[in-house]
Amino acid sequence: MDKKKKIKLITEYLFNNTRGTDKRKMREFLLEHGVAEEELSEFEKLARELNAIPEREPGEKMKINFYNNLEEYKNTISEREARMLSFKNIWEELWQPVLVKRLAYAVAIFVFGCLAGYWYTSEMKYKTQVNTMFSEMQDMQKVMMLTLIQQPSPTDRLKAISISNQISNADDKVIDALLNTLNNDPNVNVRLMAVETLYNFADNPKVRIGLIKSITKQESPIVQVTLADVMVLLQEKSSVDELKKLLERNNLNESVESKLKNSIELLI
Amino acid sequence: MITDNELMLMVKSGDIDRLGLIFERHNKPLYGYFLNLTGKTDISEDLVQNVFMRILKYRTNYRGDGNFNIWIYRIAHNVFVDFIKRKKKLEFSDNLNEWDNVLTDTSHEEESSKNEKINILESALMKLPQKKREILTLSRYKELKYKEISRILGCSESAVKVRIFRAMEELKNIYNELSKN
Repeated sequence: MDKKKKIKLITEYLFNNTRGTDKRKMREFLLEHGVAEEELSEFEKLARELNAIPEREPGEKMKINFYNNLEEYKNTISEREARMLSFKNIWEELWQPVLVKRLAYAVAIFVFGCLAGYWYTSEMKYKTQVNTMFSEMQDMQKVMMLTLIQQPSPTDRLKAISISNQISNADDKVIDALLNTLNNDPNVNVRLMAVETLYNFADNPKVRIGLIKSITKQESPIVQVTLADVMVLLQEKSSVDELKKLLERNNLNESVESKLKNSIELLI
Repeated sequence: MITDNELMLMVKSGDIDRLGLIFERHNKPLYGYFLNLTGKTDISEDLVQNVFMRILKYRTNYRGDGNFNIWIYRIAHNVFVDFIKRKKKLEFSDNLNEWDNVLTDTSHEEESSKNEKINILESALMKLPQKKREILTLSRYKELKYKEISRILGCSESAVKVRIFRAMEELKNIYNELSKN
């Protein structure tokens, strides 16, 4: 029997609660397999004596301390649980049906407000951008119109007048350029187009005055007739004097004369 | 009778007072275990308190499917290991001389005078290295099986048997030495 096995068997024999016949058989087995009886007896004696050592009793203080500690622990737990409970109560209260309804409305209003604000801001921004672009475009059209109207080519000047039709708020510079064209342009078509364009800006008193003053300055019968029609359309009674002055001219075209008389009658 | 496992499961579920019954059942063996290891009554009492405080702390981890003795002695073993580590930091040493008067400086004094042999044996036990003292304590006094001791100390059953034998050998030598004086 090797040493390790011997050690294990002795330990089993001494401490594994083997009793009676089994214990005796085991002792015999150990002695037969090289364990000295003296050695075994010494171990047995030691084991018995170890067993005889009385169990020490702890002091009463240990028990008192334990129950104090237990009480303290329970209090800590209760406080923690109470804290958890109050948190739970708040949470549950938050989910009361009425409160949930209110909360839902509040959230809905808040979301709607955010969306409306976002939409309004976007819209305003968009409008501002469009207005800026429109304004910039109008400025460009005015510059282009003022440039083209001074060109020698009648086509360019017609283009200039056409562009001025697209200008919604014609300023003094545009009106002056159109009136100047009406009174001085050598081309009849250009002058006729200027009359029609100026008629579009007739809300402006300066335009009306300019058109009236232009009546006596015109030599072309067609322009004269057109101006007479415009005066009737505008019901511009203050133009009657100018129309009468034109009527007094000697070399006046018959059809123009008839038209002027007719217009004067309509205006008076 | 309600078992330790059942009591501990009640403690786990929040019935903290049930720990009192577990304490009543185990405080003396645990105290004996620590007293055999440290030889100091006040330290042993504190270590028993530590075991029960640790049980409360880790009560939620208790599964209740094993041997309660193994569980509680494993906690006790860990409490003692931590105690030794702390003591070592404070220059504590397992000096044999420190244990010479251990059993006579406290309440053991009266009892030791009753039986000289027991007194010598206890002194011999105190002179054993801490690990040997612990394994003898577990095997002899608490009547734990080798398998259970192996699980408490985290070693094999075979190693437990060998260590017990070595501890007995050394104890026998120390005891004989002390008996001669």
